[in-house]
Amino acid sequence: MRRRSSILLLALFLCAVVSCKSKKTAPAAPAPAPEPEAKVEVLLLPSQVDAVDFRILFLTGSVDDPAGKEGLTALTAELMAQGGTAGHDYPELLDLFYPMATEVDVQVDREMTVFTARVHRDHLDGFIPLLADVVTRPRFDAAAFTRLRTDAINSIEKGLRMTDDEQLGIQALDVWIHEGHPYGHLVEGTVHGLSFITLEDVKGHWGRVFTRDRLVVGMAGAVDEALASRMREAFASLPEKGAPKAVIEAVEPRDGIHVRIIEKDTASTVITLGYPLDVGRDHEDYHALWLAQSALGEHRQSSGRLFSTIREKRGLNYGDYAYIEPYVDHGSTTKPTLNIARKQHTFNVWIRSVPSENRLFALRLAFFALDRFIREGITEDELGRSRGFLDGYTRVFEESLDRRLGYALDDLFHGAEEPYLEAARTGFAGLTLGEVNAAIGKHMRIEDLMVVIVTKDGEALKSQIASGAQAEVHYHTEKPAEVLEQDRSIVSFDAGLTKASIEVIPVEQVFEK
Amino acid sequence: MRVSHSCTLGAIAAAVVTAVALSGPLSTPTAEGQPGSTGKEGVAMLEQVSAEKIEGKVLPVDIDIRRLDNGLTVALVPFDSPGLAAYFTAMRVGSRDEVEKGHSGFAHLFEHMMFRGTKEMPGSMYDQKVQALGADSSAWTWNDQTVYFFIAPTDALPEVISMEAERFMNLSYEEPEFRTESGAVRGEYEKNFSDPVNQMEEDLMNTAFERSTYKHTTMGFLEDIKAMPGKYDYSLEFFDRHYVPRKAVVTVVGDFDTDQVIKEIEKRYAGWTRPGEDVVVPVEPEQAQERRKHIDWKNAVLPEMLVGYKTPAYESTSVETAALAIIGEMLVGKTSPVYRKLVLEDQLVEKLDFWDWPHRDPCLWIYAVRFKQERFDDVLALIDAALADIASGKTSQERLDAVKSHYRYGFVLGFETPRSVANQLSFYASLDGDPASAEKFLGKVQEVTLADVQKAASKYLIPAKRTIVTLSHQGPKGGE
Repeated sequence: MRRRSSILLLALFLCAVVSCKSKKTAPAAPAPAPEPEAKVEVLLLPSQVDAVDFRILFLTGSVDDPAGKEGLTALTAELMAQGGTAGHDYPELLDLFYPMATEVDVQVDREMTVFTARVHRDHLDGFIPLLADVVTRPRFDAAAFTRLRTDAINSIEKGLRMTDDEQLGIQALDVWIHEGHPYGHLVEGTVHGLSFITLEDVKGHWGRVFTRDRLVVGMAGAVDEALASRMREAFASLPEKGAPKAVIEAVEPRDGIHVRIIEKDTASTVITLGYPLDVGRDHEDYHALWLAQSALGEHRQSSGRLFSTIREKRGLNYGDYAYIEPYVDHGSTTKPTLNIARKQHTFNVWIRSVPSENRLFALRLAFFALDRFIREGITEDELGRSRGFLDGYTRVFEESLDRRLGYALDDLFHGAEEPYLEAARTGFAGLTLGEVNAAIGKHMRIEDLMVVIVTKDGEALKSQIASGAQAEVHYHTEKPAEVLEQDRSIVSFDAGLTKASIEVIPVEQVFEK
Repeated sequence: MRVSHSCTLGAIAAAVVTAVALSGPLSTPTAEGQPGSTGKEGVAMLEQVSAEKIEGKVLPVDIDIRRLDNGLTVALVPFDSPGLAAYFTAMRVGSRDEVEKGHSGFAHLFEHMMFRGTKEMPGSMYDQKVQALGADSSAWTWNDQTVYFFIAPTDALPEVISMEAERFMNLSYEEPEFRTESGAVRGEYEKNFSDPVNQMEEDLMNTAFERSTYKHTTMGFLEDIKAMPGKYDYSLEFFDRHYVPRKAVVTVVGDFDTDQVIKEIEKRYAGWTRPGEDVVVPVEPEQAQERRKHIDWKNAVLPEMLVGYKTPAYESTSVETAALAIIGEMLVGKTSPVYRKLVLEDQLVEKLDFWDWPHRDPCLWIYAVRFKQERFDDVLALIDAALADIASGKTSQERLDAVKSHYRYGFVLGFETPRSVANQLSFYASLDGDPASAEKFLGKVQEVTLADVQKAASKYLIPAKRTIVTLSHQGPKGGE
């Protein structure tokens, strides 16, 4: 296995390539006087367009949440973006942004927080000081804090638990895999943690983790060196350093299969499976595993084995996909979210909602399909098609200037020596069938899968799994003989499930502490 | 490679609003502009910006419209997106066209069937071809349209045109495939319905309309979805009736040679000559009084309310269409007095949304409220008062100017990629068949006066023309 030091490369990259000292260009916007040695990293992606995309990125995330205050980073970031500035309360800020048709949005993940905005160049002069104040001079308004903390708790208690079973399953699995690890709670926090966070906690946290040593200002579009200088000066008032960076250690897989059934009143059943994956972007098998993942279950595409087996042939559900990197907007997009880069990865399989009458069959089918994929590997034909697909599709991933900026920032995090998507296309081109199938054999497995199932009557399902009960499958349409023949193997396909550790928990306990 | 899906009101709001966030054309990045590379002092340098100011232009693109002899409309939109193009086919058929009883949801199911291929190009071959192209290919269905799209490398355009022409002309599938696909549609319905807003939308449309086909959502009623497997013959009829060139608008956006593309389209689609037929959508009787419905939801969600007012059909050059689009922003947008009071100050409400999506036939103008406390009537009274202020002419010119600026810059900033441009143009074109519809509509929005706003609000946004659907976990309150 080959690993590079991402942290070191990031530091070198920032210092040697992107960083530059402030030029003495007269700032067009009022900004705090820069410290004599203040340094702000800037990444520019210029183009002849009418707009500027901003990605103000901090290497700060939920890994920085103190124990017992889970959600503090996300709440702090939300209060910065939606709580007003020292100069303007939030309603005033909205009034100023409104004719520009812009706002400052924020996205928080495990190790990254990014403030984003898209502004027409007609409004740049008015916008930049406001953007800078959002980050460097938040208002910390008490009423806004109350509003946003309530919203955060509601988003878990009333939202994620109650209105989106698919995301519930995906997030619950991710948190469970990382139990005891800095990734081991929702980015948004826990109900318990959020309820103990005070406004003073937020103020203190802002000063510790939104610091210049964690900051990269990314801008794309109608940008130039003068604008870079303005931004450096605008952000120079942030403290240079604060809290030390969290240590992200590798997560060890568990022994055997573990099943967690989340019990709730719901008509259908969602199944997600996964385990910690020791393959990051700097791993020698990364491109082979990416291609394998695409052949197994490309996100929201119909070409994968899982999709073909579960939806196309059987019509059991809407879609079935596999992942080697986090995909946080699972249902709504076809492109990966950017600036959610992480050092620790997982392998995931997502079986979308199935009618509960087929839930045991769907579980066995997921294990069956994955087992078969691992044992057989992919064919030369699949290799060619997947390679052709990814060669074109990765160009769609960078279809906007803003996305190219996002990828460039992620490349900094990963210490990439060349742009990620270009390197991937080169990597795919050189792969052999043997290399891909070797990577599948080495990194994909079912014997220690962790499984989260969101369903009702969880105890009944637990008994069925533990007893090795034969699954029933109810089709509402006739099926070809070869499908029915294969089903005879699937209904009792066990793969170690009878020996699995199985627990049933009520949905109210999920993300509580 | 595709994912097909129907759009709920909320979903289409999210999808098209995302697209409405856009900007002028991208240019080929300079070598200095590539990620990680550097120019002077380690920072890439900008070439002289030469784009025009927004003033004087409605949309930052030029639309070249062609009409083929067979009635197919084609819009060619050059866009600076090196090596990438979007190819959209908007069929002017949606759940609005499901006129026969018991067939709700059929336009959406049919969208799924369009990926099952032809005799010459079976579904598996179609999928493999798309996969080999590396295209992002999918489709979506809503009330008035079904939109099929490819985002693909420009080099792939000839193949894309060939494949699309083949399936739109010669779709062919057997009954077992049809029956299996209807199972996937049922799965889609079930995945959506853990979110109560889908039930609310279904009940809102069902309560608001008596005869119009907008009575059912695009997803359709569950009973109809369950019955879909038995309607193979009807599906064949549906194709012959609606998938005809005069009901299609092809929009190509991106980096391509216009002459080559139009020649290829003319060649490949020449054999598409079915005349099809039009359906008669029943006319909805005038609504005379307010309607209400409450849903008691099984899970402990936050209370929600949808309020929908009967409004006229979309017309790109109608000042009423434009004024109603603006009033939503005025009433519940983030700078409105209502938003400030309910969300920021009193914190009774978590979220206020406005869905101003235009329709071919008279439909609903909807706002949505998610409550932190179940105070349906209090909030309704406050919003009614704000609406009365708008209807009585209390809006300032300054406020109107800010809303128009917001609307226009939002639209223009959304023109960011071939995908987002094609999506917007296709959406509006699918309403009236005119690829320039979005441009005309946006131009009309800029002409709206305070008197137009006042007139539209007082004519349409009145209690007698509205339907209110509330939902809460605890049981009926503030509803009936």
